[in-house]
Amino acid sequence: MGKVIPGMTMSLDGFINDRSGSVEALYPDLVALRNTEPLRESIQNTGAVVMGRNAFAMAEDPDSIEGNYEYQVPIFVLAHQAPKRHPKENDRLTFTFVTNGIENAIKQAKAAAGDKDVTVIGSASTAQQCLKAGLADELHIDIMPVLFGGGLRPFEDVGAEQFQLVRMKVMELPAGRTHLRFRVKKQ
Amino acid sequence: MGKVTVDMSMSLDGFITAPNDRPGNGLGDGGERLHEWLYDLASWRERHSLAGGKANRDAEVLDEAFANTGAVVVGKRMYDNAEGWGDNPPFHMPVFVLTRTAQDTMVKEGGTTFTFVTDGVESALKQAKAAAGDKDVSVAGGANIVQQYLKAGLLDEMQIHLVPILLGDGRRLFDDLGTERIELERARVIESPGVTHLRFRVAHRG
Repeated sequence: MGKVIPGMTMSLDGFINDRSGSVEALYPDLVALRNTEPLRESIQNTGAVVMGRNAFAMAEDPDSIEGNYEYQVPIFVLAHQAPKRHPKENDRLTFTFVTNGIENAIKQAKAAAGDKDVTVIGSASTAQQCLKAGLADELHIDIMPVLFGGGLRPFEDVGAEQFQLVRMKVMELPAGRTHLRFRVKKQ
Repeated sequence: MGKVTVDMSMSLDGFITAPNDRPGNGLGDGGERLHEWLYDLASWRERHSLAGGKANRDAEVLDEAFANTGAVVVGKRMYDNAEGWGDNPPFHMPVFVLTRTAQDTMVKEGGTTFTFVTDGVESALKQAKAAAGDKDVSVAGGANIVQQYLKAGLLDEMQIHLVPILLGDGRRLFDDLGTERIELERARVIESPGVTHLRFRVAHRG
């Protein structure tokens, strides 16, 4: 049985975007990131992706995801409604728009992933929902050496007291990125 | 010339105390989880006049910080929450307390002195630097004091002891930092099972 793994990059002061909503300062290494060990490993182990609405909306052209996305797996997008035109797919990467909540998205993604992991990608709210619902088995956090002083916090209102985290791994990546992995134990 | 440093235990969600921190309950309700990694260390116990303890990587990190530090700056609320750290405080060096009300210098057992500074963070730092000589000045907190030094561009290094817990509430180390982004440079990462020691240099503006 695969694991459910939300992943995110945050500033040292705990924001996953800055005051203006920009994530640019968190990804000075966007191109190089693909070739780092944690991401290569994640790509290898991921059998399905659950993607937040905003993360999906960040793609200017949804049809371009199919050819470019590092995770070539079934993608389950959290949405209020499916887009009018279904984005381009290929034989590995397909889109399913899930309108009835994160639990259903995770459930469908798990079925699609089989023995592999479900990687959860998205905004603070996607990670929050995932933690809050007790759906996360691991938490992968990259810390960047910057203080934003404002922005979106991923751990607000997640019912912190219900979690015990066990640090599994720390890796120093280029561009000052520090990759931390935790196992989530539910109390 | 020594550096101006911060060493702080912080939860993954950014808190350095749990809720309801007050005198006698300095880390807040349940906040001692933030310092659990310290209590068994020989170097911590020695500072607190306790025998025994472990010598491991965490103890080395702590020893190093103690050895490099020649003076400490703290805020008055932290001083009050710790109730002045008793008769034999764990600093064993000059401590400068930022406060609004003048008070005579106190000389405690074990080499700790408390000097009360009423004319601001720069003055406290100047006095602490003079007392520290070639060694570092450690800004020991609370959060508000660290923020003032950070905003004033007076910090050289920060070591965050990242504790794998979520507290959900309490006092955040990085709050009220203003709108200007502060760039850091990762200087060192040391991992141990209970805590990850992350050291950053603060990029000085201008």
